[in-house]
Amino acid sequence: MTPGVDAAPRVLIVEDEIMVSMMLEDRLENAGYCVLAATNLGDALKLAREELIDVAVLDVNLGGQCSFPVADALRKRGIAFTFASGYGVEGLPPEYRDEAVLQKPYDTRALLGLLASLQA
Amino acid sequence: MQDSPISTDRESMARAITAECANAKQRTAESELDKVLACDEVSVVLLGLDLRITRMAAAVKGLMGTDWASPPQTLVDLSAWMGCPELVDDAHRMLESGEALTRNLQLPRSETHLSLRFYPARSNAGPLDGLLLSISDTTERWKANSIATHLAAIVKYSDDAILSKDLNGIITSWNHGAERLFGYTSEETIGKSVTLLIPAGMPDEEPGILQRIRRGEAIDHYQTMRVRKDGSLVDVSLCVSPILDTDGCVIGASKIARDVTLEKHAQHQREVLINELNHRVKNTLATVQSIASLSLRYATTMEAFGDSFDARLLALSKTQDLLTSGNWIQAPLHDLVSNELAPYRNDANAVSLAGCDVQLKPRMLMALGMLVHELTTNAVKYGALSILGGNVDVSWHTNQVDSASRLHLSWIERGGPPIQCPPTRRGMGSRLLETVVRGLGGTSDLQYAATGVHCVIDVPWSNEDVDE
Repeated sequence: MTPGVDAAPRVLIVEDEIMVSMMLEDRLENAGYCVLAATNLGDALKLAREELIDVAVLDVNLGGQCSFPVADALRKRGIAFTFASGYGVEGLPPEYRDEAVLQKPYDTRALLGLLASLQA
Repeated sequence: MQDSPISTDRESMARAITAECANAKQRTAESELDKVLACDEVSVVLLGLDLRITRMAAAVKGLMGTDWASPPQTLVDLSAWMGCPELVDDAHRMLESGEALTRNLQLPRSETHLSLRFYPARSNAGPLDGLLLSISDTTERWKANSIATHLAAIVKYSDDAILSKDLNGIITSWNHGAERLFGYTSEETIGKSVTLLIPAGMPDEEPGILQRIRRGEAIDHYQTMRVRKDGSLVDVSLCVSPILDTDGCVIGASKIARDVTLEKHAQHQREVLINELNHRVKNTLATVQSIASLSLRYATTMEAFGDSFDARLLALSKTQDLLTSGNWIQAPLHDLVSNELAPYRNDANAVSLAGCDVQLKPRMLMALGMLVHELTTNAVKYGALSILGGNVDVSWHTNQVDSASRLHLSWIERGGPPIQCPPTRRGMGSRLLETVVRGLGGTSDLQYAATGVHCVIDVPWSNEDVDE
């Protein structure tokens, strides 16, 4: 899964708010990432299972559905990820409390720092 | 209120006094009677057969005070002073029947309550030769009785369940409120253990409560559960206070149970709402952050950024208004498009909207809201709404493909400045169109025709989506 020296790291963004997804895409592309984006659970699951991914950002609430199946798929493949949520860590069930959580709205600096440390 | 003990006392006193009268008469020495009548405890009036007052005890004079011009001579005078002329009838009835009889009354303009009892007076089992009227002040008893009656009524009609139990937890009283709350009648509970109401799995609760009660402690607003007759559980708040006897010893407990199901439910609702509010505020902030970030990125000047950012934020706000009026469940597509285009429907331009009633869920509404805003802004800046005579036709319909519904929306501009060639620089609008439609799982087609922009969107649509 480790990208080549020259290859841009591949990040999966799962975020159902389209504007927010667009912003994340912009910022992460600017920061040198190759971005894969999904705005619904089905697309996200497909990407999480099939694509080459280095790290992921998962919005917890996808239009009323939880993104936990995506988290499980990523865990299975040993891909590090962070949750993002307006609820913060309290909104997570116990089995996911050990994962990194970003509070919305996004702090781009914190996001980039966290993604770097997750890949290390 | 029972008055038999007092009556018995009175009977014996009356007999003693009548006997004394007889003796006194016999002995024609009334000094002994005088002594009796001078006693504070003896409150009697002796009357002849003609209802004239023959003797009056000092205590009666004391009771009546100085509130009369001349002392009463007859029962008629006395009954007038007492505001109770019926006393005379009572005396006649007693004389006829020879049976003692009682009347309770309240003195006029006074708090004093009296109990009056007529006894036949005979000389040593001889013929009736007069009456004895015994007067007792029952004010204190009357007050206590009326307070007790008053309190009993409060307990009886209270909406809260009120019950009492002894120190072994045996139920001793049970009001209507308890009947309503727990479903048992008083016949079904009095004499039974209060553990009847305690859910299985809380066996230590009642012993704990009883222990505290024995120590004389009260228990305030204790939140717990109780089980009804039908087996259902109810959230209650309990106040338990010890009941003391006249010596101050704890002999039981009174318990007020209040159904707090509604309060609990409301509290839960409040927590859910606050949580949801926090989530939505955070998401809205994230959206605003994104709008600012993207507007900045696609703006050519700071002024252009300011304008586009303001306009996008206002569009977002209007979409939120629509959602609020639809209770955050759904809102009509027609209103969304109409709101956005409203400022440009004037004499100079024609804007037509045509489509069936389509309700949009929040996420789709927000997404299409931004999209319609970008299309409108583009039309106002460069397209059909930028010059006189230009027009925009927006139409939509839904159809069923296999088991899924789809929404088709078309935006057609005419009469705008001729488009020489499509824009070379990709703006935020076209980027947004692409992302939004992809996000909604649909397709879009944007054509820069010579007559104006043609945009067609085709997205899955469902009215039954479980949405945020």
